[in-house]
Amino acid sequence: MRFLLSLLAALTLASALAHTEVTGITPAAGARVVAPKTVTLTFGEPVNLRFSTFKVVPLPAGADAAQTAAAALARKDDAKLRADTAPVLTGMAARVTLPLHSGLKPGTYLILWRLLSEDGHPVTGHSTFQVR
Amino acid sequence: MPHPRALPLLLALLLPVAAAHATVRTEAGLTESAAGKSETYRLNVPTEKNIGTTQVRLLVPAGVTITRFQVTPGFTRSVRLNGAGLVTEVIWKGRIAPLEYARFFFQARNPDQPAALSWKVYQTYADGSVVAWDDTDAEKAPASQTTVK
Repeated sequence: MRFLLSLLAALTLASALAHTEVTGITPAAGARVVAPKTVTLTFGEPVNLRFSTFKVVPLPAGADAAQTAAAALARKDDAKLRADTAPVLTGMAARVTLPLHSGLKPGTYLILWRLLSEDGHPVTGHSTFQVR
Repeated sequence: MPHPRALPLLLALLLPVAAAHATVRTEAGLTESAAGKSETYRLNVPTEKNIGTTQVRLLVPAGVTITRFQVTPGFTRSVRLNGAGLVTEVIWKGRIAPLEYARFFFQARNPDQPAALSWKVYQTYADGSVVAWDDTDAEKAPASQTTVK
């Protein structure tokens, strides 16, 4: 029975078996920039923004990027802890622009995301940049 | 011998009506689909003149998100994107000779709410003429409709 169900699922989902990746980030990974106004991410295919999460947070010196990213993704109602303005994003998009607060202190910042792919699998990732 | 007056009607009934339309259907040939569904659509373009088609332009209805195109050997494809990076227009350039048709398949996510999708297609021929399948002449050159339920 399980085999038949998986077969049926595979047949009906034939069009949707694709993980979505982030294909471009601005500021680029490791870039050292004057405090930017926005962060832009582009994706390999359109995603539903309502079911995806994007945050920009400061990365304290010595902190592990992956752990900080995972913790920040799990937090709810954390607008005060974020460098982005925590916009509510909806609709389909292949590109997203996050506005940042003005006057970001110099240091390292972490861009982190969780995308919901068409095949229902979440894709998480992160990238860092430096503010001069 | 049928009555002479009935002959044109008889011929009209016998001729395949839909063979000479550029159409958009689901890959299963339907004119309806489900809200929020990831559907595969099929744009079918026959050449109806004795000169070739050189370009096909599709306007993507609002609320439809194209996610992937099937390869179309013999055609080059370009797209127009909006601010969210989504495809609003597709142009395929290539030749569809007289007596030929071409099929362009693409995957798209339907709008989340029920809607009537109107697919406008502009077919350019080798002499520069453009047939507008966009309901400006709803009888001769209708835009294909998909009912999203």
